[in-house]
Amino acid sequence: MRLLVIEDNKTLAYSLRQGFREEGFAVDVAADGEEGLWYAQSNPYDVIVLDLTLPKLDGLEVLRQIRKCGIASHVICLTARGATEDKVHALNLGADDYLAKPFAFEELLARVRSLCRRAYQRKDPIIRVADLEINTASRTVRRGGNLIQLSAREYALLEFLAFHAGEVVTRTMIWDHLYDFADESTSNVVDVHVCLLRKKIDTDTGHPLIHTRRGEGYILEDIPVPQHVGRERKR
Amino acid sequence: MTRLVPRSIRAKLALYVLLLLAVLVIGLLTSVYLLARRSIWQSFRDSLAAEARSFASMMEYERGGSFDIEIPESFLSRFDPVPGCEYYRVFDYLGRRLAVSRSLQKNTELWRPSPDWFRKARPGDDIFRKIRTEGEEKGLLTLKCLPRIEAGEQQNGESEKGKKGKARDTVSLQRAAIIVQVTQSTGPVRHLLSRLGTILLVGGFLTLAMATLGSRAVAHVGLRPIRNLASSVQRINEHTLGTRVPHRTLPDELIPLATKTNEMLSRLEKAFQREKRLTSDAAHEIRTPLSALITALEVALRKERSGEEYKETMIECLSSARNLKKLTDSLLFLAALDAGKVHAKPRPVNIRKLLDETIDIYRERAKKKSLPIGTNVSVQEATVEPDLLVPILNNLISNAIEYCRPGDSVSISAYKRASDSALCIEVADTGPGIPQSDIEKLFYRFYRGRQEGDTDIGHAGLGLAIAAKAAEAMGGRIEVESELGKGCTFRVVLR
Repeated sequence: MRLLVIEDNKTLAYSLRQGFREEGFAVDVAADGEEGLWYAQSNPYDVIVLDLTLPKLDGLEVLRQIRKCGIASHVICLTARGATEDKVHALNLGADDYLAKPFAFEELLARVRSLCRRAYQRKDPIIRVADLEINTASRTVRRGGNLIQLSAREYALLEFLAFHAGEVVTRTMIWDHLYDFADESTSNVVDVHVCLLRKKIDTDTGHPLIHTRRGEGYILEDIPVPQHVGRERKR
Repeated sequence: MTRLVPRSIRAKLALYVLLLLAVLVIGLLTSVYLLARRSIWQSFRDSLAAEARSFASMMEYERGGSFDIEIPESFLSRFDPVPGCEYYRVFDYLGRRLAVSRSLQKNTELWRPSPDWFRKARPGDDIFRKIRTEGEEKGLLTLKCLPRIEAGEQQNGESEKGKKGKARDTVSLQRAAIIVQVTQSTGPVRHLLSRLGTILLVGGFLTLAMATLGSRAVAHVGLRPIRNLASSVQRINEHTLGTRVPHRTLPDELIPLATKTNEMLSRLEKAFQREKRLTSDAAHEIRTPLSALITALEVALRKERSGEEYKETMIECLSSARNLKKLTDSLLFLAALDAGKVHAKPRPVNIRKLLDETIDIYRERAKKKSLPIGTNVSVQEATVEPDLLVPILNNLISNAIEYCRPGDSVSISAYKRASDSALCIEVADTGPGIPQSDIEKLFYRFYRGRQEGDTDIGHAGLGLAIAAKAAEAMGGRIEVESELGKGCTFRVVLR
């Protein structure tokens, strides 16, 4: 999932970026309102973490502009002002959630994940595809009951595919949602990650779930395995 | 000690109204009583006079100076000598008794006028006295009047004309005059008067009693607008400062009060809002570095890290903690200035040295931005409080460096102003300048001017607020002149 953090306090912005990256999010950071708005308009972020007190362009104004442009990203507002009217105002302007500073990082993380699930219309934190079970709350993956260890990036990729289970996911979609500006933009980085994920999910079973659609992208789907494919493999 | 005059306006009003009413009622009733008494006594006297005249009409003056008296027996029964009887007497003009009631035949002596009055009083003159006989009060009227005069005499008098005849007439008439004394018990009159008195007294008391209730009621009704005003003022507390006292329905006298109250409320509300905003701004300024500190530590502790990473986090945390300390110091200093706890203790200071030392701290920063700092000091020594002046200068110089673009310049000068010989220390720059509309806001707490480039979190927008307060504590102030695009000048003016 790709996040945009708009926060002018450098230490806080840096810590949030590090914390979210380590949880497998792709994170971009903007230090003021104008920059934040530009970022939000140029990339399809899943969630925007927006500080309400910003230089150049006030957080509420950024929010208003974001909604005016029709950007569908979920927005969670951070503010040091605890006043109820501020919360109500922010929610009325189209914020999806609200968190007062100082907050616990765990709480912010949980709220951001919940917003991600909402972004893909999933209320159930557990996604099942055949015998693959992805728990988006505890971030654990089981195949046939066996726990599979994934890196944060691999998990994020699997989760993204799972959110779109049964649909083709293009390389551009993966690039837009799972990589931030700081990532090395080599053309095959997505393929490399998909390959690594496949090894962990599909290797020991005769029933692969991640399929390649040539010229289109990837799909996570429960397709019955044709017999000859099995034979080919045996050979 | 109990108060004679009550405290509440209502009771006071009621009391005053009651006192006024009491005076009016007592005055009115007393005059009614006095007038009634006078007219009752007058009519008593008139009835006595009428009786006396009826005696006179029963007498006839005959030729030769004798009187013919014909009093009917029925008329005389009243004057029988019984207890509580009445008396009458008739005298001629010389005081000789002509007739006397039977009741007076037993030696009872009545008052009689002087012989002089007998002779000189004119017919129709009377004297009214109250006398006391046999334990009873009676009214005694003594009337001089003319009896019936025999027809012949009268005709004679009329036929004879001329001065002589007229004089003789007068003389004979004087001789014919009789003096009648009649008594009548004053009992009925006194009874009537006492009844009237009782009625008036009871009526007066009832009136006053009703007036007491009435005046309280009137005061209650009359004071309703004041009570309404008081209750609407009472309902206002620090949470409902937005409410205003309704003044359209108030009587004219209370409108200034309501208007003033509303004005005061507006000022209070503004002050409260400012206070609230300040508190919320301060909370914000504290929470942000605090939040950064907490998040940095939380993220760092989420997994095992290398020593290098821990060190990085610690550096970040230290900078947040320093920001917090700086902010706390600023807020405490500002609070002390606000509370008037900072007192200037001026002493002679070498201004040139003080400026040089202050500027030296900023040379490095200015050099990095390639900003030349020029000085022009024409004051050697001045009496100032360096502990307050130096923070002001620090703030002004660091602001100038912060807001200037590379290639601009900063110049600092100190001089005695010719107009009022005040000590002026100026920090002028050729930076982007400040819009006129923002100049006033510069001194607001937590106000940050628009800043190009990097946003330094170490600065909470308190510097100029503190500088202005510190200048105030020294009995001076800070003046600002600016032209957009050409730079600005901050001048500390100390008298």
